[in-house]
Amino acid sequence: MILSMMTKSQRSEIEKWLRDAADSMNLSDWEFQVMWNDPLDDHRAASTNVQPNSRRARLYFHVDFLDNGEKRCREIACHELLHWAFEPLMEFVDDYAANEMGRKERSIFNSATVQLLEYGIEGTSLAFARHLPRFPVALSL
Amino acid sequence: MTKKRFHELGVYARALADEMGLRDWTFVTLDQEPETPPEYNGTDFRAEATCTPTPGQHTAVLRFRSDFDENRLEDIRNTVVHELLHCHMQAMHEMCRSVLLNEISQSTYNVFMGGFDMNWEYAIDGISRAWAAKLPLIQWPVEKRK
Repeated sequence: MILSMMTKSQRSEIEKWLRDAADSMNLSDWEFQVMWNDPLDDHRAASTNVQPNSRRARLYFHVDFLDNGEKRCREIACHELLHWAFEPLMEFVDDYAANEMGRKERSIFNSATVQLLEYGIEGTSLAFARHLPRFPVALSL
Repeated sequence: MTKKRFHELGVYARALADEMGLRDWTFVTLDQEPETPPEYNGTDFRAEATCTPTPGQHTAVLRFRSDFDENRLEDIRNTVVHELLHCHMQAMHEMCRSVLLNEISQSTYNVFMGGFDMNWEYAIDGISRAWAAKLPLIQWPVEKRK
């Protein structure tokens, strides 16, 4: 099922899963909005961005996200939520690079930090996601 | 901590590491006091445990205080999970540390790493506390009374 074809109640079911998962990951103070009308259509299965200096995030899912299957959807969602915990660190690192590095150095430094963060979060999420409830891929119509 | 308990702590850390997606990592548990970072000298804070990954390798040394086993079981679990979680994120930490070490002055480096480590520890601790609640508690071996 592609995201744009989901009904309001199906979207609510996923939003509730995300809320419950965030609560169980010590991210209960975070507010989020799923950008249903702005799905990803590139290589990314999901993405998140955080409003700087806040606990407010937006979540984006690929237009075919649910085709990943229950287990992988759960892992991907867990991965995106884990990013929130590291957001203050990444803001700090990026601020430093923006103010203290040349354009080329900043670009390389940021690529390396983001890449290594992604690997670290992915390793964490693959194991952590086993403890989360099943992702609601078999959505009730 | 008795030798039996120290051994059990190593077995427990290994079991948690396996559960946490760190099966490819090798852990050495040393019977040495963990060092509290010098910036906390003069405060009540003391490190209960430390995890020191070897740069560029999937190996790490774990150290626990000699009275670590006197903590509540839940606190022992939180601490072990916190220390192990560092391993997942170690590469990024190591990259920042090693790249900047020779590129900026010592004082700038100290300030940067101070801010980095503080943000780092809060992030790790938030996740590890949530994760720990889903993992088993240590079961100390029954020790015969003398």
